[in-house]
Amino acid sequence: MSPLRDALLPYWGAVISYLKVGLAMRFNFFMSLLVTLVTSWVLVSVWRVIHGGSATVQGAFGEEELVTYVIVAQVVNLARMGWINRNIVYRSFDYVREGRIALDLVRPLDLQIMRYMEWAAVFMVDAFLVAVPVWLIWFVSGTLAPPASPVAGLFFFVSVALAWFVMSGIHFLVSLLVVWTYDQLGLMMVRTAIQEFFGGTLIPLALLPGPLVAIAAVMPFQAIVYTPVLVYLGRLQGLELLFALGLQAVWGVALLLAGRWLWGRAAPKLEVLGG
Amino acid sequence: MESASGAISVRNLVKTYRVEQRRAGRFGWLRSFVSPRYRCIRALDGISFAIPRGEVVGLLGPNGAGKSTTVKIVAGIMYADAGEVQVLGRDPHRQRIQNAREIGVLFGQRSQLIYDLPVIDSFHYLRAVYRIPQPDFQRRMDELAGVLSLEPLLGQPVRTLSQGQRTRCDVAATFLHRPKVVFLDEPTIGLDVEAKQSIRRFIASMRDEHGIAVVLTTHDLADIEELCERVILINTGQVVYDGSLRRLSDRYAASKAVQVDAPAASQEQIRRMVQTQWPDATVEHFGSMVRISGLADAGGATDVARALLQMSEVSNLTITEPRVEEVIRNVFREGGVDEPPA
Repeated sequence: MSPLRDALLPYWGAVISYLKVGLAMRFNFFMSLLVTLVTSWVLVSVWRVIHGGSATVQGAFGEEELVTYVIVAQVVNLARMGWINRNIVYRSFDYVREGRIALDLVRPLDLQIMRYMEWAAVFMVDAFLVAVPVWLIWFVSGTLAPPASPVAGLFFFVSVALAWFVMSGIHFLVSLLVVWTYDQLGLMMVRTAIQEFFGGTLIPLALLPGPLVAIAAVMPFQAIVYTPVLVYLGRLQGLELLFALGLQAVWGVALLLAGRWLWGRAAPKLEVLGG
Repeated sequence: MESASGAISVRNLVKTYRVEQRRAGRFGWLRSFVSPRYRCIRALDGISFAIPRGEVVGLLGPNGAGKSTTVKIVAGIMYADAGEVQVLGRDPHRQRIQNAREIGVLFGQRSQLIYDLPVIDSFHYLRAVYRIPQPDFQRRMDELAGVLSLEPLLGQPVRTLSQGQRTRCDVAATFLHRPKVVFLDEPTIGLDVEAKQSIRRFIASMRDEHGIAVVLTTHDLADIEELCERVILINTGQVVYDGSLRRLSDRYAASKAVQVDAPAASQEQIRRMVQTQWPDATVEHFGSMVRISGLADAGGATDVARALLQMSEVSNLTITEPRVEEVIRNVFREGGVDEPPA
């Protein structure tokens, strides 16, 4: 058995448990699916209108391309309402606030790796029960274009995996801030707002004014939504594509290290009160 | 790695919490919003003790005394501001992961089971986490399921279990990986008498068969009486007593009593006999029963009993131990134990 496999094996239990929990919560997924469908439908309608009336938008994206952008951005939205938010809010935030983290800390597991693995399972279940069905529904209805090329399709999956890596890094950092702030909802709202805007979920970053594009470029959020969608659309090719994927990986590693550093600071300050 | 100090050694633990304090006055809430004021609460104020393997030690004290904080620090969950902790020769914070393989923790008020899944899935999870080989896992599961009667529960989602069923499963989960040191925080809270009994029997058997060290915090003194030879009393963050439960009972025995059935004719004779030899004792009559109390030391009660048994008419003689509850109340009323902690 390789040392890496041996080291990761204990975390496999967390992945399997989360897959099982996910499948046990059918209703939650039905709602999540519905919300994502409605949100993407609203955004598609709005953007069709904007596209018809704006030469700038027409210059940046063709109408069908823009529609595809909007839907794929919803499909890969790793901060969507429902199952994902529920698990990430409850487990990582309430666990610190209500002291349930005590139960994680008595396990022979690294807290950060445990969280990343759990979130991998959360995202996987979401992918099968929400993301893929939403994509299929739009695809079958003829609204959504397939990936620009087989190569684009392949690298899209690589980019989504890297997006998970970056997203987990952000979740982990934000969840530790609760140790200082004791308030998770405020942090969640700030993170979601920033992420939806600077990640390109609501508005393609190319359509933002210059200074905002510059800010978005130096933040990790574009690595979560904007990069995978551009890969899907085939807008990133060759070296540009490799650079974008490399940047995602760099952000992922940087956030991982920042998370380790912050946990080192947070652990001694952790106060688990109550019985 | 195991040092001579045994399972757990704790030296001079200090822990202070910072608690927000509302400002006084009519607009205190507003002034607190603008500039919050904090007060420091010293939860632990120099706690020291050592526990060898194979011993079940009761950690007692009123609410807020620092019992839970002590357990959380020794288990590696929280950090102390000052002091030293060793569990099986390791620092439970710097070597949290290695330490966690050897300890088991049960919080009676918080389940470690996965809420939405059948019970057995939590055990599969723990099997992966602690890398328990499949044959060992199967053997231990059979054993635990037998002793704690889990068999019918394993397929049921955790959220559908009653408190007693859930606690039995939690106890099994705590011992599944054969920990050498176990922390049980209120393990029998909210359970009926029978469920309490089965859990106590199980803990005693784990202690006797596997030589584990157990730290038990509880408000149920019957747990202590049945499982612990030794108790540590904590009050306002300090150890006020560390020693045998018996010695504590003897020192603070409020009312060790001898009860005996005797016909009405001999009751007066008993009264005279007791009052001549033990002038401090109280003699009460309840129908056919005579109760002699106020015998502070154990020897006194035995002597009274011996004297009574020489009278042919008496039957059903019992010596009632003082309730631990009463003992502890007395310790705190008198403001601590006058002899130095053992």
